[in-house]
Amino acid sequence: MIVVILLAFAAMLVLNLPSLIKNRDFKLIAVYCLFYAASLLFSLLLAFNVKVPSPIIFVDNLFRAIRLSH
Amino acid sequence: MKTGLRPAAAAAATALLLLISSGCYDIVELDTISIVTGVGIDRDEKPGLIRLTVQVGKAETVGGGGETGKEISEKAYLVLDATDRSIVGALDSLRQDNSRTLFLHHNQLIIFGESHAKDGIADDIDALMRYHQSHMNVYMLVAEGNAREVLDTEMELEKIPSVGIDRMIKNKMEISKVYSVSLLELVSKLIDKSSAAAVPIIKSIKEKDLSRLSMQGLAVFKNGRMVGKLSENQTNGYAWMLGEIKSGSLKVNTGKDSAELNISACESKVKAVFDKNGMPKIQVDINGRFIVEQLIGFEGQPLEEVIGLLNKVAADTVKQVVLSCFKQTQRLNADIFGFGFHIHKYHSRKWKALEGRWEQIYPSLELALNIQTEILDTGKISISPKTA
Amino acid sequence: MTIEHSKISAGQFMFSIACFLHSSSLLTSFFVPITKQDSWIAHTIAMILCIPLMILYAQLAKSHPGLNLIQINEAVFGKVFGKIISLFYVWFFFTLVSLNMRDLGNFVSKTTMIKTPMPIIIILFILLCVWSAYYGLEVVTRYSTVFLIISAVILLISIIAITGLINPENFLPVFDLPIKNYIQVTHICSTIPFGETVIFLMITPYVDKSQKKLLRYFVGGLLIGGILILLVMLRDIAVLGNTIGYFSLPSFEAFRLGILFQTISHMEIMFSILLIILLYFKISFLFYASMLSLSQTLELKTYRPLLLPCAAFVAVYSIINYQNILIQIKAAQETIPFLWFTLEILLPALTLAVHYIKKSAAKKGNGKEAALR
Repeated sequence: MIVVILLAFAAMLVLNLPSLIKNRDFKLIAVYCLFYAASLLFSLLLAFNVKVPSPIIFVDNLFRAIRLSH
Repeated sequence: MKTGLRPAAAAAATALLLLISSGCYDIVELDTISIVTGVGIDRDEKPGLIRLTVQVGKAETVGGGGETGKEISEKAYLVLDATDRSIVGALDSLRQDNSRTLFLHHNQLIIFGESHAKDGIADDIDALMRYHQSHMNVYMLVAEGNAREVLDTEMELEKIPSVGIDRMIKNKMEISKVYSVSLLELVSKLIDKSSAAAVPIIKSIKEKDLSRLSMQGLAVFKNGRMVGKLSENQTNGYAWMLGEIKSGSLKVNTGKDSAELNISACESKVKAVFDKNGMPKIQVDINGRFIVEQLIGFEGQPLEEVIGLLNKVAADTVKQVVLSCFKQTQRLNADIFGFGFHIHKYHSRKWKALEGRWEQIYPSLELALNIQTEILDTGKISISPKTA
Repeated sequence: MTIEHSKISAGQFMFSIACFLHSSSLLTSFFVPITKQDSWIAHTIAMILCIPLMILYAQLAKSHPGLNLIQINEAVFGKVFGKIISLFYVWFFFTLVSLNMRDLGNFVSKTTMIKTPMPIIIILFILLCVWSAYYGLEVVTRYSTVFLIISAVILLISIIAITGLINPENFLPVFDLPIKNYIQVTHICSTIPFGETVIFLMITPYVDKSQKKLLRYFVGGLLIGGILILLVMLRDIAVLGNTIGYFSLPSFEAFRLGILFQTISHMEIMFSILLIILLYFKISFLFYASMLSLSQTLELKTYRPLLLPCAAFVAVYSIINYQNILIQIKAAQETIPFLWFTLEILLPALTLAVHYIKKSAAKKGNGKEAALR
């Protein structure tokens, strides 16, 4: 499974990197790297069965704490 | 066509995608499954265990039968069983001992053995509703004796018994819809705390060397347990009360003469009336229409008189049959007609006061029957040749 | 400055809304256990209550013609504050994509492809959405009319197939349950399918009609989609009766029971196909709109290079969000309506209110200047 993930992310880089570097749009490259790193990190964590905290459960608990739920 | 790494990578990715999206994980080939056509659940000798019987249809022997002169001596079906604490456990052990996986999507029947039905079927219903492969329109039956016997009975005209039983049920449905109870109907009645369900009984009769199947009567389930039976006559009463008779015949007796009437249509209307204490009284209006099939006796009487007499006697007979069924359900304290449910639906505010006490109210519930009969036709002849 | 250059017709816009709403007929299992046989009443009330909501959205679009939601935020709240509010919307849209993706993955793996691991289903799907988003708005919404017609035909066939099983008494007793159940379900219904149409404010500038006439398309889409969901619910209640609260996929069971001409039965595969088609439309549209809103917020020239990493992120996000369907259902019934309410109703209303205040303050300012001269 981990091999598949790494292959998929490598393929993504291959497809996108040439056009990104050609355009020299640094803001775009920065955002790209942010999403790339985040998804790579989380997918590897999931592959290793590490429990990742979920943002929506966090918001869910927040709303329950302020009694804003049915 | 541009050359380079990018198109190559895109092509490779597309090829990989095509491979994955063919869904090869979930392939099911016809020769790797055994098609289950009937399921039976019995109480095992050891306490706390049930015996699950499945009837599997063999696809090969049913298909090509056009060869003359060759005797097909092998049965077109197979009966497997397993013992376990629950249905799911038994299905699991059947899977382990079998060269093929069980395929329950085409299952048509679920038969409960009588003793197991008396123990309670609520847990089995839970498993059946959760199990993905079970459909809610399978027919439910109770076997007098063992379900395994019923599933193992070879039928003369049908290769696979479950298909035969299914056709039997459909035949009986021509008379009345009460002879078929699907899993959905059973669950619907089980969920409602005031109602009881009535499930058809099937039994395997052995006469000399042959055995055949026969469906007679209904088994009454209350709170998931079988509490009693209704005879064939009382089943008729049940059908009349619900207005669910489409055909069939009625025997009437005037003391010295009798007649056979064919039931051509029937309607019933249920109304709940409340007295000043809030206690309910059920009023049922039944309307039956008949065609005379046979007159036995009635010599020398003019036709109008005979018809009038038959009307009255038919109404009395229907009333008697309905009351006999009603009294039996009152004895068993099982509201199979859904009177409680009716009050809940149409008078929901009054029902809230009665809900907790329905068990006490039902055995002494007053029933007012109003039966109208009409003889529409007398068949191909009107005056009997006997009166000449 | 717009990132998107294509235009879509008003009819495509309306049918997109209707298709988007109709795909939520899968989600009836969230609220049906609460109001059981009266669910259709709560749903109809929610539909009627959301008509003023459509008026709000149309007004917002009309007040800033040619600007999509993110641009409106910046115009009303200023650059910094507007970007902060836009980030909330971006998070909301991405969460919507991942939640719907998760629903789809659950549905496909529970009913059709039982042994296939869910990540594979999700990844295949998101790649398809990437492909359609790559080509822009016109491609994403192009098939809305066709999908809607297909789904209406399948719905009609299913209703014909179950006519033998309908029992009108299944709708009784009416109004038997405590009032708070009805309020809860009306709340859920108005935020989960209907309120999510706030996302269409992202594409209002690209509709090929004057912004003034948008209201009728908003309301038209709402009514078509809402009535289709109502038909689905009526069919399910008529067939399943009091057992409807127990099933996690009531429409699936109702489809299973239908028989056409005594031969065609076990039609649940048609339901699966229908749901996959509709959910595909909804998810690809949501994905496209979230990409558009992300790149608009960050003021990028195009979103195309970002498609793949965001797709990966969404795929992973959808698995992280709710590990367990029971938690998802409980959250959908209890807290999500309030959360969605703030994002779908409070924020746009606030935006419109601030816009009007600014406009009247500007008028007063002009008046004062005129008076001073």
